[in-house]
Order: sequence, then C-alpha cells, then structure tokens
Amino acid sequence: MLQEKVKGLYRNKPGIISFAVLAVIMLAGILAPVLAPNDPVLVTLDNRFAAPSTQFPFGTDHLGRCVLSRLMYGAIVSLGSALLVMTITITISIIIGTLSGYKGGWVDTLLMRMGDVNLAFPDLVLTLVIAGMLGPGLANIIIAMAAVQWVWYARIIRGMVLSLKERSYVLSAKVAGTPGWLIVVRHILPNIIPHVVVLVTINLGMVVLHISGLTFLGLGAQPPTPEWGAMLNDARQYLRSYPRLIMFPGTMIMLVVISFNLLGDALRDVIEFREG
Amino acid sequence: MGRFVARRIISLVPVLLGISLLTFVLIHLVPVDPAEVYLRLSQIPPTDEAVAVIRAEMGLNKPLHQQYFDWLWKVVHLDFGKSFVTKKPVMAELLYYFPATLNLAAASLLIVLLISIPVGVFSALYKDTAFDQICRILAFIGASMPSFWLSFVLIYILSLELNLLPAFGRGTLAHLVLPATTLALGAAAVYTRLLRTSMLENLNQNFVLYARARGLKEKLIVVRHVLKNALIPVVIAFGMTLGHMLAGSVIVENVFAWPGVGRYIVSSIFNRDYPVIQAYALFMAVVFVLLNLFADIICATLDPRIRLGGDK
Amino acid sequence: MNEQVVLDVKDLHVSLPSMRGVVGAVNGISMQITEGKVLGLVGESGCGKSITCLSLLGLTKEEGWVIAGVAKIQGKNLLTLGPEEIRKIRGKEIAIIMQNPLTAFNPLMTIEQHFLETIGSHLLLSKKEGRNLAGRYLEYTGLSQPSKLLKQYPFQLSGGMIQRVMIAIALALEPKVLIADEPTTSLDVTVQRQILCQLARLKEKVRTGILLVSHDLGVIAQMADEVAVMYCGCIVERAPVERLFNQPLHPYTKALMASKPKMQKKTLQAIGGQAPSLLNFDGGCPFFERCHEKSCCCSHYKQELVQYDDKHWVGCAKFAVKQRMLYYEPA
Ligand SMILES: Nc1ncnc2c1ncn2[C@@H]1O[C@H](COP(=O)(O)OP(=O)(O)O)[C@@H](O)[C@H]1O
Ligand SMILES: [Mg+2]
Repeated sequence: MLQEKVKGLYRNKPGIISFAVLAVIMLAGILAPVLAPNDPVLVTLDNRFAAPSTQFPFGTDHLGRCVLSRLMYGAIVSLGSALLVMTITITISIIIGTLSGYKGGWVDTLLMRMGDVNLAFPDLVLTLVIAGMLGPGLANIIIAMAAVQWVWYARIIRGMVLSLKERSYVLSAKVAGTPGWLIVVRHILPNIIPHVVVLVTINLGMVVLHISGLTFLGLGAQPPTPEWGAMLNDARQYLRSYPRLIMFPGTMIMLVVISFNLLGDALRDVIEFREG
Repeated sequence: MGRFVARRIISLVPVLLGISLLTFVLIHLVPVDPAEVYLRLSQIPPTDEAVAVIRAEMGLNKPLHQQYFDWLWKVVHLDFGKSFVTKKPVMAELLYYFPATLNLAAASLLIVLLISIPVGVFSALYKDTAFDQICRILAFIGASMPSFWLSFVLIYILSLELNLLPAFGRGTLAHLVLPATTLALGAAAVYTRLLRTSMLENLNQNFVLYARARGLKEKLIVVRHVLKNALIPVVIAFGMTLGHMLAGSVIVENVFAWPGVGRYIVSSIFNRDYPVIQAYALFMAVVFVLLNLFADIICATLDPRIRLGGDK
Repeated sequence: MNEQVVLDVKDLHVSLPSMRGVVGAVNGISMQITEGKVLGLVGESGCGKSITCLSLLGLTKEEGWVIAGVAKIQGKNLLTLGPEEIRKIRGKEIAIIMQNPLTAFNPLMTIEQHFLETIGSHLLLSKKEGRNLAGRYLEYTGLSQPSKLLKQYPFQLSGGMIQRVMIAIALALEPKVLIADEPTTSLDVTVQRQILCQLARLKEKVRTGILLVSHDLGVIAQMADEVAVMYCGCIVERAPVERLFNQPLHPYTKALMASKPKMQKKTLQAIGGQAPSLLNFDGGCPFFERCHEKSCCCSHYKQELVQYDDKHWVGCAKFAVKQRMLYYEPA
C-alpha cells in the first residue's frame, strides 16, 4: 500500500517538480559555504549595485554584497526557520492533541478553551504581538509563530484521535489489555502522521510567507543576516533604480510558497484519496 | 431572529474573557522590566528608587490576580493606560489611526467582492473551459504571492514606470488604489476558489434539478437557487477575512506609508511601547469577534434554518 | 369518451458516458400516456426509470449524453426542442413530482416563493392571483391552512406535507402530463398511504395523464390503469393492470411478483443472480442470464415488444417465436 502511494506520488507531475525545486533550494542553502561564489556579508562599498558579472552572477546590493551568495545563505535561514517552526509546532501539538483526544479530562477542556480564544485572534495579530513583546529577532519570531499555531494543529489532531479511538482494532486492543501508550504508538500515531504530513506541507508555504513578512517589517532576522524578507526590505529604497534587487528575493519566496502548495496538494491527493 | 442574536452574543462572553486573560498575560512575556523601559523612554535614569516608584505606580507589585482585575476594570471603561512614548491615552491613539486602516480594509473588501463574485460564478458556470483554467491558475498564483512583494511589483509598474498612481501616503482616491489592490488580491484569489467550489456543489443539488423541471429560466436558477445558496459559506468566511485584512494591512501600510494602525503598531514594537502593543491585541481581537458576529447575523438573515433555529 | 394520447414516446434511447464506458441507461422504450389515465412504470432500482423521466423533460442534456427517439406532445417532438421551447413545456405541459421532496426545495425560500416562481415562469399573473391559485391547489391536496403554510420554509414541514406541496405545485398549472417519480419511496408507510389516496382522488378530478414510476408493485397495483415493466432500460412487458397481475407472461415479471410479499404465501423468493451491467448494452435479451425459462433461441433474440393479444405486449423470445420469428443477427 505504501508502495502504491509512492508510485501515485511519482506520477503526480506538479508534486515531483515542486519537490525537486524545494530540494534544490534547500541543497543550495546547505551547500552555500562550499558553492556560494562570495561571502554573503562582506561589504565592499566600491562594488555597490554592480551589474551581474562572472564574479557576481546576480550583481551586488547597496552595500556591494553578492546577491547570489546572500540568496543561497538566505535559503537556509528562510526555509530552515520555517521548518523549525513546524517541527516545534507539530511536536507540541501531537503530544497535547493525542493526550487530549485519548485521555480527555482537564487537558482536553483546557485545549478546547484555548482554541476558542486562539480563534478569536487573527493569526498575524497574535504572532505580531507576541513577537513584539519578546522584541525583534529571528528566534523570537519562531517562538511566536509556534506559540500561535500549535493550538490549531492540536485541535485537529485531537479530532483525528477521537475518531480513531472508536475504530474496532483500537477497541479490541483495549479489550486485550494493551496499555494506553502502546495503543497510541502502535495504532494511533501511525494513522495520524500521514494526515499531519499533508497539513504541514500545505501550511509550510504560509509559514514561509509569514516569516519573510515579519522579517520584512524588521522583526525577524537582524542585519546583516542574509534572509529573503530582509533582503526585500533592504532593496525597497532602490526600487526605482535597481528593481532587480527586489525581483530576486521576491521570486524566491514565491517559488518556495507555490512549491509547498503544489507539493501539499499532491500529497493530499495521494495520501487522503483512498482513505477518504 | 432576536433570539438568535441574543444567544450568539451571550456565547461571546467566555471568549471575550479568554481574550482579556491572554492579552493581560502578554505583558509578562516582556523579557525586561517594563518599568525600566518606561523610565528609559522618558529619559529618566532607571535608578533602583525610580524603578520602584514606577512599579508601584503601574501596580506591578500587587498579586497577579489583583493586577488582572484592576486592569480588566480599566479596560471595561475603555482605559488602556498611556503610551510610554507620547504619554497620551492609548485608546485615543488607536482610534486616531483606526479610520485609515478601516478605510483601506473596506476598499480592499470591495475589490475582493468585485473580483471574486463574477469570476467565481463564471468559472463555475463555464467549468473546465479556457476561462476557468486561466482563472484557476491565476488564483493559485495569487494565493501564493507575498503581499509585500506584489506591492513592489505594482509600485514599480504602475507608479514608477507608468506614473499612473501615487505610491505612498493617503489623501485622494488614487492613493487608495495600490494599497487596497495589494491587500485584496490574495483574498480575492481565495474567495474566487471558494465561491467556485460552492457554486459547483449547489449546481448539483436536487433543488436545482427541480427548479429546472418546473420550467424556470436558467438565469433565475443561477441567481436565486445557485448563487444565493453558494454565498452562505462565503459570507461566513468573510467575517474572518475582513479581520485578516485588518491584520494583513500591517505589511501593506508599512510598504505604502499608509498612516493606519498597522504602521503605528510596528513603530510601537520598535519603541517597546508595551501598553500600545497590549491594547492593539485586545482591540483587534474584539473587532475580529464583532466582525464574525456580524457575518453570522448576515448569514442568519440569508438562511432561515439558522434564523429560526431549525435542525440540520 | 375517447381516449386521447397526450404523450407518445417511441423508441427512446439514452446513453451516457461513465468511467468504464458508455452506459445504455434507456434502450429503446415506447409508451403512450393517455388523458386521465395512469401508466405505471415498474422495475428494480437502477433500471433507468428516473433517467426516462428526466429525458421526457429534456433534463438529460449533459455533456456526452446521447438521446435518440421521439417523444411527442401536442405534435411536437420534445427531444429536439430548443432550450427555451422545452423550458416552456417543463412544469406547464409536463410536470414532475420528485422522489426526494425534502431536498427538492431550496432551503432558503418559502413555499410561496417556490409557487410564485413556478407560476410566474409560465403565466402572467399578479402576485395576489398567484397566491390565490397556490392556496386553492394546496387545499386541493388536502393541506389545511394554506395561507400559513405558504409563509413557511421547507425545513419546517414534514415529508408528507412537502410531498403534497410538490403535488400542488405540479398541478397548479394544469399540465397535460404528470410524471411521478417514486413519489412515496422516501416517506414512511402511513404517509405513503395518505399520499397515494390523495393521488387516487386527484386522478378522478383532473384530466391529466399520469406516469407513475415505482419499484413497488403494491403501489402500482393500487394506482395504475396500465403497467409497463422495465428491466435494464427496456420495457419487457406491458398490459392493463389486472391482466398483468393475473396473467404475467414475461419471466422477469413473474419473478418480480414472486418476490413481492403476500399474505397467503409464507416464502419470499428473491430473483437469483444480478442485473447485468448496462455497460455497452448489445440489444439481446437483458434477462437471459437470470432467466429460468430460457431456451436455445433466446441468445439470438433481439429485445423487442411483440403483441400477445389486444392490449398485452411482451418482450420475450418464447412469445416472439410463436408470433413471428425475430432473430438478432450479430453484426
Ligand atoms: N448522472 C449519472 N451519471 C452516470 N450514470 C448515471 C447517472 N444517473 C444514472 N446513472 C446510471 O443510469 C442507470 C439508471 O439510473 P436511474 O434511472 O436513476 O435508475 P432508477 O430506475 O432507479 O430510477 C443506473 O445504472 C445508474 O447507475
Ligand atoms: Mg429513480
């Protein structure tokens, strides 16, 4: 069955292409120290706004830094922080969501109430405000985003656990006296994880957008860290004379977001189609 | 109807309490002593005595629950404290900046409606035609486009190159076009998709078949039986969207130098003007909750099942 | 009183594309609906009854669907009419009562709005006249307090009430033909009886010709003047109601009757086997696989009704061979 799904994914062209795009970007980020043509933070004022050349394939920015190198190093900051946000979010929400769905009790009540309050805020407002209270910085943004998002995921996971709990194989395992944690590990987690993967992939695009948006506002990675949203912010003053400085990071963000959306759709088609 | 609204409003009370609790806790996230920040912003050296005086003044020495009730009491009387920077009441400041943001959000909403309703309806009616395919691709790209980047592209083309529209500030109607469009496009993409799906679902309903079987004109069927039903999920989502637009305007306002709440809050964050940040959170949450309430009421007027408390 | 045929259907075919190939949902049926009479159309579910009904209203014009044959009403073939012409016939000349009344009404509209939009699509009447008309027909179908009912929404009515409303809407424009597609299937048994009684009473009052579709022989026995038995998109037997029940000829009709519960008999017989798929219907006898009376000539038989006697028609090789030899020659 797993094989069938892998095959199904393999046949999904947009899915494969977007996966390849993301893999290339991620690799470029990881291998940036080896591959990047220049130091991403080296300021050479003689070279300000240099046009693309063999030394600076994408030209240089207002401080004479190599745009290509900054994009490559930026990939790891932008994508990596998005992945980090998701990892934290998902870890918390799987633990709490499963606990609340399987055990119920006060954890459950608390989670539901928190969910109501969480829903009463537009996501961006709560993230902005938490990040604002903590002060500017990439780490604070990551904390703020995870703090806002986990409630939503936990509630969805709780719902999945609740419906799985009623399945016959779980009930029979219970009757057979299997301890609760073993049922969760053996029967419940393997069933929810594929759905969680789909959710995460679809929403990763959104997370990338939010992180770069907050960085663009100056709340995220601080200069001179190469980050795509920060690069956009740097370039905005030179929009009229050097529009290419805007084009590069903007296109990268959009490419990543589109790829995550396509990949998420493909995964959903493959994983959730049969299980319905 | 009256009973529905009353029930809905009563259900808001615990949510509002939750919101207040969360907002109150926010200030305790601050990694430094707010009293010290206050003193620095007031150009007073934060000596131990001075900090102690300000802490007492802010009520930071009282037990936590006492602080909460004091704060809640003031908030209920619309007193959010004073800005650390301007020393003016925060509420007055927010109300000063809010109209610009509301103006922007309303204009965007209008654009969203003008795009998503016709496009959504026609791409459902002409499903799988070239028009539908193109709209779906555009909607997909629109939903993936970072608004801050889109705004630069629009500024570059329409303002800098073609010189058609002003790029910054607020004033004439022309000033509104670019920021409102930027803010609208993402939501328009989402709503076009939502309406299209909803239209297609309703086109397959039994009551549409029955309407055809009774010999109604196709136009009447589309408007009265398909569109009106299809709009209900869209209206429910709209309460959310308008809230997200008010929030999303933070970025757009900063790009276009639009003098609204969004720009105010970002500068307050950099100034560590904590009372403003706290009040902003509460203010936006309340606006958001009220917008959702409003959307629910509109839905109830559209849908008798909600209004008259039917099952289903 | 001479019997006038109001709807004359000849050799109606409907085929539709599906994921596995072309489905022949209706494979050449002919029937006549007569003024003031009820024609019962009976068959297992999935045999193409609803598709037949919808095609008579021109509602099967979806992409890829192929419709052939002739269905004449007042000299016009309604299968070839343009969209506006067929619209004028729907509801006005041919009205329908649908199987699932609860989902057939728009949940956002009152009963009155449903009435008025139907009447307004065909007649130039003021709102007040329309309302009076609606009230009159609601009373006609045995609903009390029509003025209060008109202001209500579909979800506030019970299944039986809303089915009556549907009947009232159908009759309000005095159609020549009324199609009732399983009008009582989704209702519970006591309500079913009430609705059938109501229909039987109306039959006496109006001159409408009725096509009553059902999978339930009991309903048909109670209501119909003439019965057509449908199987796999073909009509396999047609006879006046008493004749059909007393002397069924087609093996399928016999099997259908054996599977109907009766007081005297203790055993219920299911029809063995499964109905063949309607995919790529080839024109041979559709009941061949399940038939207990099949013989060697059956497999060559081309499905067609032959006249057994005056008003009794049957589509079975046994009888066809008696009358004239009809062979199906594979291409
Ligand atoms: N919209 C459709 N698309 C594809 N196949 C259909 C559709 N509607 C009906 N069918 C098929 O046509 C056949 C006849 O259906 P129908 O007329 O609804 O049967 P019934 O006699 O129960 O009313 C069935 O086998 C059904 O599967
Ligand atoms: Mg049917």
